[in-house]
Amino acid sequence: MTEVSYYVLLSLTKPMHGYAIMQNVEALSKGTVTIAPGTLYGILENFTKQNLIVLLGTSDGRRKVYQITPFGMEVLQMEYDRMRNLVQISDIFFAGRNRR
Amino acid sequence: MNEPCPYIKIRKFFIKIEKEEKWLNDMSAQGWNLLQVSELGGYTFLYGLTEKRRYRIDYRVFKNQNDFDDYTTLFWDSGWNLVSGGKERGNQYFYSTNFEESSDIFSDERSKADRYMRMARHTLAMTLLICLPYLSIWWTDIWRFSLSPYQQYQVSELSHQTGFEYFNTFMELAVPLFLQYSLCICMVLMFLLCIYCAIKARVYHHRAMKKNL
Repeated sequence: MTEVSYYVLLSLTKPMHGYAIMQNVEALSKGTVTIAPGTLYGILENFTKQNLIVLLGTSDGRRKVYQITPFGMEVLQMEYDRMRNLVQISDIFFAGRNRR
Repeated sequence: MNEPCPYIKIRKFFIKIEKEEKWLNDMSAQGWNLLQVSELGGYTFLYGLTEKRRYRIDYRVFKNQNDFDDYTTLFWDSGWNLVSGGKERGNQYFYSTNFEESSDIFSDERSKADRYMRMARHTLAMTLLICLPYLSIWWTDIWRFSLSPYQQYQVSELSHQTGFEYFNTFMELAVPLFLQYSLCICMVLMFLLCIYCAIKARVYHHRAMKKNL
């Protein structure tokens, strides 16, 4: 999963529509990660197809609101565990390296 | 303001989306802003807008109007207004007035690859869709593929006929011949376009892999 996709999935742990996701990702990453609308639309389509998120309905009839599914939560947890594992290994490696 | 605004219509055909975007942005720099795009490749421009515009093009087709409205609203929220497009049109033209040099509707290479893949898939689907009516009208004449035009002419015995019968037989020969060859040419061109789009998609995909996105 790419960094951008991970941010999107993380945002959708709360119900959200497209533009709110874009703003949320920018806030979470402190401005370092921005998503353009064409890219975001593609990510939301793919996630829906893979059953990671589900369409809840529309707010004010024009903006679709999505939320993460239980299966999506599992995938998110797996990604988190994978990254945490990498960080732990890297902690040991870089601590050892910086001591020299 | 009673003066009519000057507008021009230009007919152009693009295969590369990047070239099309660059052309629209160059026109805008000279003061001509895009008003509308017709299905047959006619671009209508209007002169004299004071704001500067940056144009980007997406390729996407939608099943219903709700999906299309959600899509255009997302772009509108992020500052991209729809100039021309529709749920079945394919090419969706957007402009932004608040932009930087690198402003784009895509933020990574993979989504650019996906755009070309969508083009390839839809062009393929359209090719097959066009072939079906052709074939359903024409399937009784399929045997003509095994004969050259000259042989078909001999079989029709056109030279033995006169007057109204001649005209009749001529039409029965000419129309299937025309369908046969125009269909083949169309199909070849469409397949070439599909292959081109698929190749471009691979190029962007490789770029995405290299950047490890």
